[in-house]
Amino acid sequence: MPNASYVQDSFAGGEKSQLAQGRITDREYRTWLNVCVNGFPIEAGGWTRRPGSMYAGHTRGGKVGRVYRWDFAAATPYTMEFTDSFIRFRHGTGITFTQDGQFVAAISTANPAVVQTPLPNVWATGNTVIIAGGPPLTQNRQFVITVIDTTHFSIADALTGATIDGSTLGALPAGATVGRVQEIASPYIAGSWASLHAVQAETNAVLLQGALPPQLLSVTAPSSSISDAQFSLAGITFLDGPYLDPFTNGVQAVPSAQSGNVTLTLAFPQYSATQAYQKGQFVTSSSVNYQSLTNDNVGNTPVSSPSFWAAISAGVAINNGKGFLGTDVGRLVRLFSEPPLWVAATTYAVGNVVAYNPTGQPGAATYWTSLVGANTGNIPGNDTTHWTLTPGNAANWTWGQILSLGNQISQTLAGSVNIGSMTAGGGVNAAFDGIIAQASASSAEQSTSTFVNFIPIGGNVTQTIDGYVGKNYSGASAQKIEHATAYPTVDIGFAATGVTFGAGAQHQYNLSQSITFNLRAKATAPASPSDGTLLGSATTSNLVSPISVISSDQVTAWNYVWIEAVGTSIVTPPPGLATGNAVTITFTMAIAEVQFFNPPGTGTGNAVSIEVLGPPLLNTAPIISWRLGAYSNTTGWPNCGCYHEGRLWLAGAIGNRFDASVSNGLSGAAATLNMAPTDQNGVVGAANAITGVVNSDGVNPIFWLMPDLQGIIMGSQAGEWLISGPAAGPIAPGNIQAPRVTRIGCANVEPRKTDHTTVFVQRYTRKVMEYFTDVYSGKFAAPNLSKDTLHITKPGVAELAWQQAVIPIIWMRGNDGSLFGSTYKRDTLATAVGPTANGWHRHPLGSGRTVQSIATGPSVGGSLDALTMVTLDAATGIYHVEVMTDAADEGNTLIQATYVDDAVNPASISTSNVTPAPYGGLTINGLWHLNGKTVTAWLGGLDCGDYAVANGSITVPYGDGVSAGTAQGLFTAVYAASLTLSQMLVGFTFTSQGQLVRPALPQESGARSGPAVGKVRRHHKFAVQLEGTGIGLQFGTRFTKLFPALFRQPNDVAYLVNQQFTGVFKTTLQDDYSFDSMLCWQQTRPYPVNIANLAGMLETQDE
Amino acid sequence: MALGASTFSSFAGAASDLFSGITGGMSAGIKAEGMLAEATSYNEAAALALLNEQYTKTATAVKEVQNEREVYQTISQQEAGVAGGGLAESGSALDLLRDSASQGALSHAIIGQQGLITEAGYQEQHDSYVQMAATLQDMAQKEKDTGLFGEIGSFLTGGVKLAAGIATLV
Repeated sequence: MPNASYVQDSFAGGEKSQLAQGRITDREYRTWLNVCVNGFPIEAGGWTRRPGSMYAGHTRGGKVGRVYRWDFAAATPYTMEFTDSFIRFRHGTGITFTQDGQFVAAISTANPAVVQTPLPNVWATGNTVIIAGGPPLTQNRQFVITVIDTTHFSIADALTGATIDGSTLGALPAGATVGRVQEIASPYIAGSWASLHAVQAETNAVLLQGALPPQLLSVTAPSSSISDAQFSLAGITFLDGPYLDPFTNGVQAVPSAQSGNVTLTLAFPQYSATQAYQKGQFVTSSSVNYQSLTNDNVGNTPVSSPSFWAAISAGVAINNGKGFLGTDVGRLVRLFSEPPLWVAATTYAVGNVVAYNPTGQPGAATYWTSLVGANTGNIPGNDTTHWTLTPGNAANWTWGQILSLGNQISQTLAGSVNIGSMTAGGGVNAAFDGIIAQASASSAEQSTSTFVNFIPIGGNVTQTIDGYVGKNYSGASAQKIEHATAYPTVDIGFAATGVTFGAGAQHQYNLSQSITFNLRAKATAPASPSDGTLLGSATTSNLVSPISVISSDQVTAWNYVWIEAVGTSIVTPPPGLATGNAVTITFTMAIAEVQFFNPPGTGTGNAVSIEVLGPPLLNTAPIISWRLGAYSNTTGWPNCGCYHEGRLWLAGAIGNRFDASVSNGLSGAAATLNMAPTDQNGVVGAANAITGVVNSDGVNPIFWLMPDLQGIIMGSQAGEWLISGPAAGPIAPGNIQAPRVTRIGCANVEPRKTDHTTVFVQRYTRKVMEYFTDVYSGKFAAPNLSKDTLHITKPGVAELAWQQAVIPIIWMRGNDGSLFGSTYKRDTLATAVGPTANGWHRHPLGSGRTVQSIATGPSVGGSLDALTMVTLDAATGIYHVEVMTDAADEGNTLIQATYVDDAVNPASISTSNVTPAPYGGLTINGLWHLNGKTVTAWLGGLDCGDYAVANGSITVPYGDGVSAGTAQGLFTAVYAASLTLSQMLVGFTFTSQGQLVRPALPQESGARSGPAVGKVRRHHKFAVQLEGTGIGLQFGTRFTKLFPALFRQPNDVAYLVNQQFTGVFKTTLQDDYSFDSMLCWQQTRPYPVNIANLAGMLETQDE
Repeated sequence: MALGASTFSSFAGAASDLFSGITGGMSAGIKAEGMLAEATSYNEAAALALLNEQYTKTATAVKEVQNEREVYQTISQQEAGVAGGGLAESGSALDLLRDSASQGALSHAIIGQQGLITEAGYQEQHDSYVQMAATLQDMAQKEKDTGLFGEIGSFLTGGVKLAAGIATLV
């Protein structure tokens, strides 16, 4: 007989690691769980099953992708789906369409089937369509179309590309419609969307990715009751900034004109024997550029003082010594146009204007107009007769954009010939056609294919291409080379790997590519891509950004110069691949454009052409103060940001640095971002753009910016900073501070804002921190939410998502594709007090799919938050988008239960009273994505068993209405006829498990001589308080030995399969004496389980 | 000659000329004295103007130093604020410092120019006063000279007229 009892009336502690469970005296101990799988504690303390997930369509083409929340209007939140080159949108599980849907007039019986629409449309080949209400074989499927004319197009399966045989489809039901999926073409190719961050700014989303210029996603038409919102994507144009700091090494820019397209030539001040030069400063002496090698360098004539001066190329002064690069095209430049400096020996005429800056401090010049002729040697300001202060407009800032480089060797240099081995696509000539943005088919391309069967081979398949494109200058003149720039194509970047399938299962594989660019040259024609002298090399796995290779020999003139591209593709089969899979792997490498550049020297080659976009320059005098743009293809682009106080804040491209736009500087209509740091006179106003570089003991990329009540929290590997305004009023250039507030260190994982705190992942990805200001100390604190659950975060946390309603949960994706979470709430912002709830749970999906991306977005009904996931079937490699359904509410019926994963409501059904025998059955259509899988039919709240899906359908036999057949005979034709399609679910059942921690304290274990640790105990009975729980629930003390809870009515009649139990259930338990004896429960079928408390009655043997 | 009208006329003229000589001489002296006194005042004013010029020169120099000090303090405070706020001297901080330096240089130049203009004004005032004093001194001298010669002339004409009157009695 038991001699003790205890009750666990809260499960809010969630699952704890084995090491944490040793704290038996912790006051929260009796809220902890040893196991919490596919279920979670709710705020009230009870435990409920995780709801299932609804299938929201596969990703575009079933390819790898990610989801991202975008609720530009609270009432109409959307989820973005990113795949290579495309963005699609969902509201709940519904994918959005363009506003030009059509009825289907006919579908031909040809192969491929041709769909006819009654009205002309503007759809294009390659668009994706979905047919609603069509023949069963077309239901819940996506098709790629090939346009025949404005009213006809053929269809092919969007996953496999296989054409649809119209003769297999059957009759077209009346009222069938076809909609075009809204797909926005994007520059995010080659998986670059994986590291993308989106910043929501009213009805715009600014998309930030470090390798590509920011894009602006805008709502062009809001949603209505009959149509989806429409979106557009455009590159953001930066206006007047942001910039790097002005040059201080003496390099000057000499403009050729004052407005329009202006050539800017680099120049240095003339050497002066009386000036002291510091190390790194530049001068020109006898038309040769020199750089000072020492500090306090006075009176050492450069040409005869090699220990004090080194002759250099002008380009050394900029771009970290690399000079202007091809990747600088498009980069902004800011120029301070001012009169020439006053020189004592110069004779000035009446009206001449000079700048006088005796201190040499930046900006400390004053401007003077000569009052007399023959004005020589009169210091401005020393009298009132020779010079007068020049009123206004004597100097101004302007800005422009680099259009081209002066030292670029003409693509069409007379006598030069294009050479190379990348002759596919547009061929070698395409690399020198002057068109930078072009698709691979129009670019210099080379590919290789191999046929493999993965099972015999096993492991990875690696392919390599060695190709080249270049120039033969022997017919022109041999060329010295400073650097070369290669541009990626707009559709595949520099490389892509495609897998096409033979007979048998069609899988998708993990693909990775990298390219090494070698700059090579030779006096004679190359015999192979790797021939000649290697001048420089650059390896990248970033396939979407232009790349420059600097030459180590800028002296030798070469007849033949080329870029050798060595591409490597690695194809990894899905880990679950169990059967032979014969595939053809094609690895393609493409270069859109190649540019070669001469060393700049000291002449006009040392120049760039810019387009002046600001006010005209005042003169063509050398410009001493000038700045290069901070963001470009040379320096990178911002990859994180936030929207705060009307400014768009950007960071990530340059270590420790952040930039903020002018107040309200983002124009959605024009897709521009005003980043002007000052007005044209150099005055810094409160509304001007902000650039800050935080003081730190290291230089680290900034991973994220998160607005907070006190300002903006900025996370990097080295710690967390708070950007705020020290004085009252908004943050402004003159009212800003950014001290480091903590040194936790962050991972490159976007944090999430919860009700009162910010949650982020610590730099080693094992810890999840809650971040808030302690209400007493006023200082930021970062308690570790995962300190007791490191066994769950072991694979590393790759992504966070915050679900606010109904149950507040921080969802997390592991690097291994696992899904886990914490029911989290903090009400007291005091470090000394733990969170109100922090109960962790794990969620292996019933489908066996792994999770590749998570985001919280609108729920299935669209009225609550729900987790949206991109999931991967390891066997097929096809990616699905799934949306978790709402957690169960009290009083929910079985019909409302949704405990199946990757589930769908049937697109259509058909019933038969004959087939299958003996009672007929219900055929359910629209299960194309579950083809070949064994799924569970949950129909009208009845567990109707498991079935293999074939051709997108299953047939569920009817029961006899008494006790025989499906669902204990309750699933009958009559019952099925009473159901709507939304009351039927087909998906994967999953197993939910929970287990209490050991009863260890004397009062709960019954041990009379101290704690029960190390004392054997055995549960004799248990009692559980349940709400709306279905049958099939099992209990025990270990998962290998469970016993069903047989609910019975007061009259001892067993509960039927369509009945739910609410109340206290108590029964005896078979248990063995052990040191553990932890009560546990499990549900493997799609029935609800809601546990309010669980009590154990046990006996512990004292020693 | 008998005592006649011409006798009386001659005696009267003589008396008049003699008295006029006496009073005219006295008057010119007094006027010259006044002019000299005024010239002295102008000289004093000129000296004061010179002092003002010197003072302005000094004051301008002091103001320039004060301005430089203020600019330095402002910039220094900004630099300290930037560093204290956890930011490096880069980006907007440089823009602000440049803006402040520009304002400082401009105010420095304006102070200098204002000083020079004021100095020039005082110098001009000084020069003007000196000129006026010199003129007055010159005029006073002339006045004095004019009074002496008038007195002598009047005595001479009075003597002639007196002789003429006596001659009418002989």
